[in-house]
Amino acid sequence: MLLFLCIALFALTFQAFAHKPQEGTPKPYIHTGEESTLQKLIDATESGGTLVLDKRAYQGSFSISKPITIKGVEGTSIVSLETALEISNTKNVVIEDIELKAEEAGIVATGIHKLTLKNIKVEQGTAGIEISNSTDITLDNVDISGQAGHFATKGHAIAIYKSVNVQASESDISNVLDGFYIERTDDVSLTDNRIQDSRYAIHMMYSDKVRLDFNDVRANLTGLMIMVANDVSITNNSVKKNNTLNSVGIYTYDVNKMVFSDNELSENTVAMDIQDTRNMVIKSNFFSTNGTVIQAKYSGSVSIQDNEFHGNILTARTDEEGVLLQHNFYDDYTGKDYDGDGIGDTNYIATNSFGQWMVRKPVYQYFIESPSVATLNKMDTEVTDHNSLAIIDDQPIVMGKTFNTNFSINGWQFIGSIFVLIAMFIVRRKLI
Amino acid sequence: MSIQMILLECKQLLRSRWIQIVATLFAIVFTAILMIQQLALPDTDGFTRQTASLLNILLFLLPLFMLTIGSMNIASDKESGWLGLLRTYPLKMWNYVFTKYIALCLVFAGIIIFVFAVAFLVGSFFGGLKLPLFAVGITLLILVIFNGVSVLVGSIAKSRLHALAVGLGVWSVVSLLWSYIIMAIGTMTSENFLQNIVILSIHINPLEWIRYGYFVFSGQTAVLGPAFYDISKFYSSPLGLLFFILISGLWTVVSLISATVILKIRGKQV
Repeated sequence: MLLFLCIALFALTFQAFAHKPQEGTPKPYIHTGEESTLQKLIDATESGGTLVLDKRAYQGSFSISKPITIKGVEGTSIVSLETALEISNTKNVVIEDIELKAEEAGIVATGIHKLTLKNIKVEQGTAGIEISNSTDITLDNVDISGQAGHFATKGHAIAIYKSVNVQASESDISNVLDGFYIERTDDVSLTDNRIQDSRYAIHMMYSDKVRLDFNDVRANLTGLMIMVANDVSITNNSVKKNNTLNSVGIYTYDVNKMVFSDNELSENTVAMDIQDTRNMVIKSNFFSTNGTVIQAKYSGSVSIQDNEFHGNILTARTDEEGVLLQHNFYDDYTGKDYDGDGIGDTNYIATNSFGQWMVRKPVYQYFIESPSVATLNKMDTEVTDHNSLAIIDDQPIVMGKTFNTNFSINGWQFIGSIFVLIAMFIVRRKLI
Repeated sequence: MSIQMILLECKQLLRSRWIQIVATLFAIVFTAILMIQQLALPDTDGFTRQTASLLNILLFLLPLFMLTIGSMNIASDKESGWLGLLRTYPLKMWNYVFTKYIALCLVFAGIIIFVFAVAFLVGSFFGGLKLPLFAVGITLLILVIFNGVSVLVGSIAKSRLHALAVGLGVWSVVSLLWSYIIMAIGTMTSENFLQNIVILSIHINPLEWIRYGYFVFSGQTAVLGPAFYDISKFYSSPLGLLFFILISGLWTVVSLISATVILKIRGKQV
């Protein structure tokens, strides 16, 4: 009997650590047992192997220092009072389908070559995912949400330092300090991510070869903040409702060679704040209902062409020559096109004295679009042609404005207003 | 102050061609701005150029109409001898002033309701019009404050022409010149000093006060920039709201009391 029990116990323990080959792969396979801790399972998996986790919560902090694929199923989670997963000095690590709840960071990775995080959900404590000194990083469908509260109490969702070749896509991030904080990292591609209610959606500095495409960035303090970068391409993004105090849709500082095209920016306090930026092309974007669209400081070579401007308060303000406005559509352009070539016959003056004052003394912003300034601007445009700092488009596009003239009667408003008008008519007749 | 007197004043005002022209002009401009916003722009909550246009129409036109019509109405009473006749009756001067004020408020409220109704009627053919709530609030505030100021201007003026001149003068100062003077001072002073005089200006210029009120109560103070964060935070608090109501009330009450005193003094001089 005793012998039988010993054999049974030995068999159970052996089963827990048994390696079964996975279909289609020669790598060893482990199926987790209820009694095993995750760290033991990781340690027991051969280098390059795949560990499939059960639908359960694993508690504690775990570390990885060898090539491994860890896959969860729906309901697999890691709960930790510290950092949930630490990955260091290895290559080919894949983490998939896991939810992380950690008091500190969800994942901290250092010195990794080829790290893939896929279908990861993080309920952020002090930080989401931190990666440093790594190469070939792929983040796919990483969702990170922070708690409500002041930004001072929050950390970055995804922070990447001193790395090369980072690709992130399909991530949903909200209520964090910065959605993506990327520093001294080259070859960055962020595609189709959605970031909202954070301090900066994407905050990047000291980076080369940056591609930001199809991201949806809204209701942050600042949408995209790109500083000290070279060779930046930002296309097909939606940057909206970054409209609190000091909010900016896109801020660039000390950026060289930047293409900003086919983006939609609306309802931002300032859509684009461009400082000390060189060789920048802003093309085919749609700017609507922003406070100020473009504010340029110390930026000498910015070309703004083929964009559409609708319902913005101020199109552009600058303190320096060199901002070129060409071939854009402005809904407040009042010129005519008598020769029918689609180009207005008179210049469009995007800036004015008041805009320049605002750049120099921000307190002037109080008067923005006040009755006095609206009048002043009308007079100002008549004499601004000769001002070297005025931003003038000598080829403004003239096209039919799009009006939503769908004819449909609103019965309540129709009857209500008719009733009020008749009542007023009767009252007036009675009175007089 | 009796209802009959108020109705009599309302009758006189409504017979005025000037009032009818004003109502028509205001209805056309207001409806046009709202329709452009409705048809040409996406549905936004923010402060857009069209929102600014709507706000400016209210801030520009309503005070102009109120200051000229209100002041000329009282000056007309002086010029025609009607006020002199009233003085022979046992009628308190504050009674006369408050009657005028209430009548002006009622007539302008009627004009505004008419304008809103026209705008809604036109908008109903395009799926319905959305009237920003701020437009109603700002209109009421303009109505309450500037009708009081117009009564004061009318009490100062000696004739209708004089009232028109003073009314236009006050309007041009509060709506245009005041801001230009402050902006000009700002070019010669430090930014901190400019900020302080702008804050002072908000409190002593009724038009700036109403404009600032719009930004605070529509939650759009970010438009004004970071320099006004502290004051905006105060006025966004319950205590700030109380203070705002108090100052708005003071503009009206002080104007009406001043008008009463001036008319009493002028009455004794005659």
